[in-house]
Amino acid sequence: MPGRQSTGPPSIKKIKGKKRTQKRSLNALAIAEQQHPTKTKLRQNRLGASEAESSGRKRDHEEDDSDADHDSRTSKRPRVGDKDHFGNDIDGGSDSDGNEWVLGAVGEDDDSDLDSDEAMRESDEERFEGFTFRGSSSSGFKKLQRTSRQSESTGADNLGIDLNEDDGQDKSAEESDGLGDDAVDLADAMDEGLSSDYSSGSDDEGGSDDHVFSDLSDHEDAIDPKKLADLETFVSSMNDTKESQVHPKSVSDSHESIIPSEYGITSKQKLTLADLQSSITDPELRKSLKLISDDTKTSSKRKGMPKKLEVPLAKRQQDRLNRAAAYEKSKETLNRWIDTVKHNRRAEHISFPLKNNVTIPQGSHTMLPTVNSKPVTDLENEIQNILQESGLGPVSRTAEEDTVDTFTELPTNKLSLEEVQARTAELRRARDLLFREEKRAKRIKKIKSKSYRKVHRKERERMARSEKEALVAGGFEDSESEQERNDRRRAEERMGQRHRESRWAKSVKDAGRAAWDEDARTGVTEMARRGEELRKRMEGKVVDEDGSSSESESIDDQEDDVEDMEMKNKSRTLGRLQEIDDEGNGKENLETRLSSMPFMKKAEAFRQDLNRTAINDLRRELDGEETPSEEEAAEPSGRRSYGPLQNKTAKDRASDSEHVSEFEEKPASEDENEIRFEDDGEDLAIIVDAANPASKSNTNSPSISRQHAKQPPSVNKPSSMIEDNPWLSTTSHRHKKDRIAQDSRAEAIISNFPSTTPALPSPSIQPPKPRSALKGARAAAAAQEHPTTSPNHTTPTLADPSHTDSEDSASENAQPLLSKNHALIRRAFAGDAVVSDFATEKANTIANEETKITDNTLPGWGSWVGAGVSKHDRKRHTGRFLTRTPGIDAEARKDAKLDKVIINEKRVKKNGRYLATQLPHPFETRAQYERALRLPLGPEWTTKETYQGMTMPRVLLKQGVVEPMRRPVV
Amino acid sequence: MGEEDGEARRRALEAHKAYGRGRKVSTKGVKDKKLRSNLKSLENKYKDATLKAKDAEVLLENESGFLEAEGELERTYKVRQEDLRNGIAVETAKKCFDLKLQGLGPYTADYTRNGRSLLLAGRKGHVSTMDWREGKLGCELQLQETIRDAKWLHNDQYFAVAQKKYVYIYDVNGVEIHSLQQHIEVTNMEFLPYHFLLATVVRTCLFRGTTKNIANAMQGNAGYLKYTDTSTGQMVIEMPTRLGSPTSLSQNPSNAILHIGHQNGTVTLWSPNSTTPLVKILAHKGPVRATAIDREGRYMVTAGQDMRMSVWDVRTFKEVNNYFLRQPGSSVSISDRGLVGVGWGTQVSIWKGLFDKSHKDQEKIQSPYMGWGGEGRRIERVRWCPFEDVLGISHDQGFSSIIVPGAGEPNFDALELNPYENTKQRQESEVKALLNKLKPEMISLNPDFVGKLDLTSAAQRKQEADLDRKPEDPVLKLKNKGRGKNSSLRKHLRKKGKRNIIDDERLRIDALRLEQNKRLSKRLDKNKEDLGPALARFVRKPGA
Repeated sequence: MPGRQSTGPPSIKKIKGKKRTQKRSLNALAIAEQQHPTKTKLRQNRLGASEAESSGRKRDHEEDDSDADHDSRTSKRPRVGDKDHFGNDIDGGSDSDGNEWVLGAVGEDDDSDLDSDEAMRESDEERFEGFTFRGSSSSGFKKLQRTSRQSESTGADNLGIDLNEDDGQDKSAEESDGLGDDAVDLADAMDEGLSSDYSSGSDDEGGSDDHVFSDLSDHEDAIDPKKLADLETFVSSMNDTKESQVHPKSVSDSHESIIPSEYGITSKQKLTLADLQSSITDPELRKSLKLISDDTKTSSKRKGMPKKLEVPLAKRQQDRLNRAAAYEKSKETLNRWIDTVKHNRRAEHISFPLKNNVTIPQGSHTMLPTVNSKPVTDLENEIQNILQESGLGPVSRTAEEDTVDTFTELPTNKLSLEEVQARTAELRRARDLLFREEKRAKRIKKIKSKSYRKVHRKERERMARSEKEALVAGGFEDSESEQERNDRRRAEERMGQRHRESRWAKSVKDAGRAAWDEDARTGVTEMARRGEELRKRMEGKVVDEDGSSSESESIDDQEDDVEDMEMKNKSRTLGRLQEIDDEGNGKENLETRLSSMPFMKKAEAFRQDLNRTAINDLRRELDGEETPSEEEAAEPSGRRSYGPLQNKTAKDRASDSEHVSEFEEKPASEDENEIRFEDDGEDLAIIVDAANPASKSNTNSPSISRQHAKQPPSVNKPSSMIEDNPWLSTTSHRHKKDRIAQDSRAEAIISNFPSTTPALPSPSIQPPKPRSALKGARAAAAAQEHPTTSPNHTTPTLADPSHTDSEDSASENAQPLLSKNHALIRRAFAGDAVVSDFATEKANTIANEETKITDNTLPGWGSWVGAGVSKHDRKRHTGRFLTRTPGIDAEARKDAKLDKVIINEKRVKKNGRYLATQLPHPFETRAQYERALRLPLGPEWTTKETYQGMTMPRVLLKQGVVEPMRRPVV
Repeated sequence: MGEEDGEARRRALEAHKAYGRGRKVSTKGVKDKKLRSNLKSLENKYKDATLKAKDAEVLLENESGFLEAEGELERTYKVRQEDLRNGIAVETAKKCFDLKLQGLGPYTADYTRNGRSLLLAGRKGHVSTMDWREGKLGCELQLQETIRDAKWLHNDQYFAVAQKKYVYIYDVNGVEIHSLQQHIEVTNMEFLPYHFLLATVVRTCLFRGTTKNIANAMQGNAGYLKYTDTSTGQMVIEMPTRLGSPTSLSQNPSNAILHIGHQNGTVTLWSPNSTTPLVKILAHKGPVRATAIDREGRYMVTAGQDMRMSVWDVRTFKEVNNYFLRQPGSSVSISDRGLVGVGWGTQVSIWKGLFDKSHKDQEKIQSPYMGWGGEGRRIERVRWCPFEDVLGISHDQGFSSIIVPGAGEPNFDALELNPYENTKQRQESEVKALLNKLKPEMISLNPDFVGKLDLTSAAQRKQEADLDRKPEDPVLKLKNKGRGKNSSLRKHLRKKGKRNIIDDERLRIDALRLEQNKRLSKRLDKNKEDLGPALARFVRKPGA
């Protein structure tokens, strides 16, 4: 009851004082009761915690305010019933006499004097408190309350029926509260509904003294099931403490609105609102009453009209519903955040303030010109006013200005689309006409720049060629610098060439431009031609050893092609020139205003002249080049004409030869090589026999040497190392080969021995170790037959650099020497059986580390020992107790296939300190875990960016105030 | 669109090939959603990292190039240093020089890790350091006893010299600052820069030798390998190789495993965590004179007395190729870019492409890339200068620095090794290196093993667990930990003590507390007495 609760203490005291003076003498018992509060307090506590408090507070007020409250409350307790009556009497006496008889007749169970507060308090508080009083602040509700209240009070006044016994007091209290008449107690409004219900339900039993609840229900059963149901709900809504609370109260409720008769028999006539209505004269009051009555009769028939309030649910139920609703609501609002939260949770890094959360900090609004915007705040408004008054502010736009604007607006805005298009077309045409000559000049220039330059280049080349020929004829050879220059030119040519893989070529191919664009087509053909040319040149370079005749032929062909192409080009250019000329001659009949002006005409004419001269020049140049006939120029480029080219081909042939010579380093270089080779040979001659005709042929076979290079290294190993004394071993093909080799060795050692002096380290070369024995034998045989052409040895020797070149030639001679070295090596390591030692060591290790099975059988344990035990018995008892110590099997070893390696299989315990003993939590397999460790975090292993990314803290917080996250937009 | 996709894929593939870290792990079967998404994001991160690394290649602005022959008949090994010097920039040409130091025996040489300083040590006791680019002499010592090896430590401030008897450590000024008396008659030394370990191989163990050791030494079976932590000065481990006097020693830069060459032609691989060699390789049929491992730890090149040079893949332990030398190689070294310098007799040959990690089958090279020498100077040691196209050759008549185009790594990571560092940077990197020092236990054949899952069975682990260990006494630990109001005993009682259980531990704690309190009050009394009756009231309870 917010209204009541808001009672100001001082005003209360005032009233209290008054009342005390009046009633002290009479109310002694009540005071006593007050001082010794009874059970009711306990019950109060049963209401929810907050409610208990509020109700307690309320009760306190009431205790202070009105003694009637205490009386009525206490009156419900049977034991103190008499005293209650007494107190009640006093109370009642203050407003009406009608209560007198009730006291006498009904005795303890005084129904009629049940005050509305009381009714509220005892049982219904639970139900209504939360409902009514929270909403009481809303005006609509208040109004409703007010009307009901008014109707009540008027009714009570007029009829003398005690609906609200404490009316006067309550009112005074309310007034003192500062609520005034308007304030309406909802509890009062409630009273009505309840009382009407219950009174009707308990019509016949009004007079009975002891209203046991069960009795009541029995009776009601018989009477009206619907009402019974109502009652039951009511009952069920009450607390468990029925015996103390429900029982008397229900009785009192049932008689609340019944007019009591003299002998405690209640009248059968039921008082309804309709009865009261008749007495009301005030139309407004009637109206409001009508509402109530309508509601009672036809509940919720009319919609949109304020109805009489439904019976609210019990507070707990209501709370539950409220909570559920509130939960739903809050859930909905919170669900909006789910995505944001998820995103932020999953984000690797979050930095606050959030990036998308840019809120403009207060006071940092961007400054905008105030001229256009309207003043927002009062201050601005004021300033604006002042400014305007002083004539400084922006003057409001006048009508004049508007008209000016309309004039300055583009008139084109109103034009139609067709009109605009026509205009632009016209403009374009005018422009075309204006710049026609310029365009022509451009085109001419282009043609000129292309063909002109080409022609001139050709001329230059021709000059150079002839010059060179003269030089050659005069006996001057190509100087080195010139050669270099030629090389350079060639390279440049290659650079400048339109490459088949170039972007241009691709674009032409993709767009199919060659089909329609003549330029592109010529470009493509040019490219093809050049490619062909280059290829031929390259081939020519390689092939030229074979014979120059074929090459020259091919070059001839190629040259013809080239000529052909050139002809085509020329004719095309001429055609184009003609085109341009025609275009220029075809005078335009479209004269624009501007172009018809004299100065424009003059300029035009000048330009035209220039163009014409340019074309003529070009023509002349082309003609001067080869004097093409007019028909040729006009001729489509399909036919070939060889006639006028003859003399040129001759020249070209010369140039070709020049070309060839340009690429003809080959013979020259060969010569050079020969010379070099001879030099080498001379070098070799110091060490080896110079007379090696085979050496030359050997140099020409790189493939052979490569083949040898691929020989596996193991083959090269002197596998006979293990043998203690190779001289004594007398087996196998190796031996045979040795024997064969020995023959030559015998001489060779003698002949070559001096060369192994320390001053000049001999090329100690390994002997060939052929892959198979047969091959070896064959090779050896071959060696015998042709001692000079023994197979190349493959192992690169760390020879004196000057020697290695002649290794091939040296190898043949060196072979006996080689085997001699081997012999020396073998002798040197004769005692060291290194390999066999290693093998035994490995075998031992394998044996040591292998799985071992030990026989733990003790002789004598479980068997007989000593003399006389048969062999069979002894045998039977061996191997009875075997223990198996697991180890590493020979096949499972890491070095199982590596005969030169022993790998320690023992676990390195000290390393175990840095191993993870078990798989860390989130990982499911070892691979996952070890993968997670794969990339080191340190800056040494990754780029700075990666390093910083990986070591960045998850949450970055910038200094300052972090704005709350913005509400997500759903 | 498709083209773009293809391009992107191609780029990713290339990046993966160059910088990828293994195969993806499949996330399909993973049931846990979170794990799956985590793994996916991880893969994306890795992919991103590889792409970024690939993109960062633009920062490698310097390129290396090799000598190239113009025709088939031209040979790069014919190019002499004089020819080169004429063709290169003056400043570069200065890097080619000769130091004539006759009479003080064959020299050994060593460059610092950033290639800035050079350490020269003559057999007969001459030691000098120099900033070889500037030609500035750092210090010069005449030790007047045999020097077998000399090595720079982590930077150019310290170097270790294996002398006649002990190993000594000198600082940049040539002042002897340590003598490592546990390293006796050391023949070869190696320094592991990331672990700060100085590893030495010792011919014998004289002083500390037990009879057995002496017996071993007599048999020629000693060959002790010792690791000393140079940051703490402590011996980490010493163990006998049992393979006699070692003939060569080198380290694998990628996993800090030591490769020791022996008289019987084997090369053994050692880590300080195992007293037996991890791997034994029979590389030669005579003593192994020199070994070298490439920067990535993939290939090993050895030279033996049997006049052979063999190339090994040290991950699969397979021999790649075998080459013939005219004289036994005395020293082998592999440059940053995979050039192999071999000193044999009086000559040095430099080989290109002996191994190529991108090829499955290695080509057998027919001729060396470059050559040097043949002028009667017996080669003692060849060492590549890091980040330079320079090969340092020390011989019996001094030291020669030659230019080998394409040998050095052209791009350096200044955070790792800075050839142009100043004092401050050097100091900082030293501190950083010390902070990042790796434990000797982290040395293993597979350097990525740290953090991997231990695959030993529970049974084995149980077997290995130390069951005889004394159980830890919590009370004893608490005893002297803290005093005062919140003493550790009180705290223990409050947090861990079961309130109502009086057991042995509780009794002990109570007794300890009582004792402590007594001590406290006694002290209080004493303090009060000291201050006298007037001031006694100001005595504060200790710990309050």
